[in-house]
Parts: sequence; C-alpha cells; structure tokens
Amino acid sequence: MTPFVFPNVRTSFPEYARTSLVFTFKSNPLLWVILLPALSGLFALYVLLTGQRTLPDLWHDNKMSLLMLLFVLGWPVLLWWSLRKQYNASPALHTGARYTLSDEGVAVLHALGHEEYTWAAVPQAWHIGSWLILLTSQNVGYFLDLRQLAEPARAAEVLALLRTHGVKVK
Amino acid sequence: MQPLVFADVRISYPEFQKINQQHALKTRWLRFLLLPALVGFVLWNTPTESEDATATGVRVGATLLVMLASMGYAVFNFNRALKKQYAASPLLQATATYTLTENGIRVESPIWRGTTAWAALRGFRHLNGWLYLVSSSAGGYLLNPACLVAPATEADVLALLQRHGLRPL
Repeated sequence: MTPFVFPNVRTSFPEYARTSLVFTFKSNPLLWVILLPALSGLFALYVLLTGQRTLPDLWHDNKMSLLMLLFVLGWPVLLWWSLRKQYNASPALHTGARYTLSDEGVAVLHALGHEEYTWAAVPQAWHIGSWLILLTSQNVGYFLDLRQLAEPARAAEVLALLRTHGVKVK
Repeated sequence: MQPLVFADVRISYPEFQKINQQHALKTRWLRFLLLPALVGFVLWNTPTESEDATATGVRVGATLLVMLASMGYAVFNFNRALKKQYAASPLLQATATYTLTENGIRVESPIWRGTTAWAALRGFRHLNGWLYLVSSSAGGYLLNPACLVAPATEADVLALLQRHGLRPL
C-alpha cells in the first residue's frame, strides 16, 4: 500500500481552539448539562445591561445568579488561556509537522523531533470537519488536516485505513 | 557524555494513580475545593423560614455535611477519570526504554519510538519517587529512577536536565 502523506500540517490557533472545543463537547456530552446553570448567569447579565436590576439588587436577592455571572464572564477567559497554553506547548501544532500513515502505523516529523506509532498505540480517532484527531491517549493526540493530504489519495481512504487497523473512528 | 538509560520502564495503575494524585494536589488543589465551595454557597444562601439558633445549627451541620460529600464526589470522580485515562492509553501501559543524551530523549517501545529535542520540554517534577519530564500541558515522559542503568545516577540525570535549561516545575 502507498503511504498517505500529509506533507506540512500547520494548525492555526483559532482552528485548534475550535476543533478542540468540538472534540471536548462531543466526547463529554455531560458538559452541556453542567453548563445549563450558566444560563442564569446570562440572564443576570441581561438584566444588568438593560438596567432592570443593579448589582446590589442582585447581591441581595440572588447571589447564585451573580456567581453564575462571574462564571459566564470568567470561563471563556480561563478556557482561552488553557487552550493557548496547550497550543504553545506543542511544536507539532504551531511549527508544522509531516504525517505519514501506512499499514505499519503513524510517523510524525516536526521541528523538535520525530515519533513513530504502531496502530496499537492509536486506539481512537475523531473526524471533525476537515480535521482528523489521532488520539494516543484519552486527551493527547495529533491534529491532521485532511485538506493537506497529498494527492491522489482521498480522505475516505485514510479513514478506511484506520478502520482496517482497528482504530475506532468517531 | 555517556547516554543515560532508563531501561524497561513500565508504570502500573496504582503508581500512575499516586503520581497523578500528588500532581493534582500540587497544581490543581483549587479544583477539589470548587465544587464544595459552590454547593456550600448555594445552600447557605437558600432562604429558610425559621431563623432560630437550632435551625441555624442544623443548617450549618447540613451544609458542612453536603460540602464534605461533594468533596468526596470530586475525589471519586478524579480517580474514575484517571482509571479511564490509564485504560484508554496503550502508551502508558507499554514497557519502554528511555535514553537521555545531549541531543534529547529517545524512546523505544514495542508500540512507539521517537526522539524529542530538549527544547520541546518545559521542565521536570519529582512525583512519588518518579521523574516526570513535562513536554506539554497534556503530556510528558514518566521515568522511574529505579530503572536507571548503572553506573549513571539520578544526580547525573538532573545535571543533564539543568544543562539543557530544564527547571523543576
């Protein structure tokens, strides 16, 4: 079989953040339930911005919605900071990497090293939009841009290769 | 310099659990307090009809009890996630040999191998007797000093790490 080559996959931070978030919420659907109380924070923001209530009013009558308001405002900042930290720490993401997929497994070559995995080391993969995340652990993986696949290979063939080798594609 | 070799390193689940618990207590202790604090805040601010001393005592006791239970749940949930993480990662369960040289760290295992330059590592931690080389916020290398091949010593390893700019985190 001719190996599938992704000659230079570079992930921009917005793409990484978007794909990571979709992956996180798809792989942990319970997060949606945890986020539901945040709706009261959004409502508190609405009543504050429209002048229906003041901060002292909310503190007196509904401390919980004020707490949720803090969560609604603070969570995106913490999330952005955490994703940015992960992105900066991974050379394969921001400096670009070459991925080669074959019957033997996955080979990754980037500016600060190279890794080779047999398929036994990749139990799961997620296909999100034009991205393929190859997971080597529950939350550690490689981001492959299927648009960067060297021709004449097609994305469907890559997914078929993964399934042939027992990788669970979600 | 002679390469420093950690031969046949394998981490069992109990060791992985202890290392992560220690790591979490050092770096993410606030997360364990978040849920009890939130639950306590909600209960304490829930309006009640009676405000006498007995009712307040019951309320304080009940709030503390529920806070304690929610902290227990947070710990239980953390351990459950660790178990899931270990079970889902063949890399963690594989036996590997790590070779440290002036160029970086080389890994050889039946299911993966590779080389990483020192510039890709952020620092190191001592956790439950193991040496954890941090390569990113989500990954790294776990080295067992007991597997270090003689005559090399842990001091040689630390000297090499520090020579390449890795600091204790």
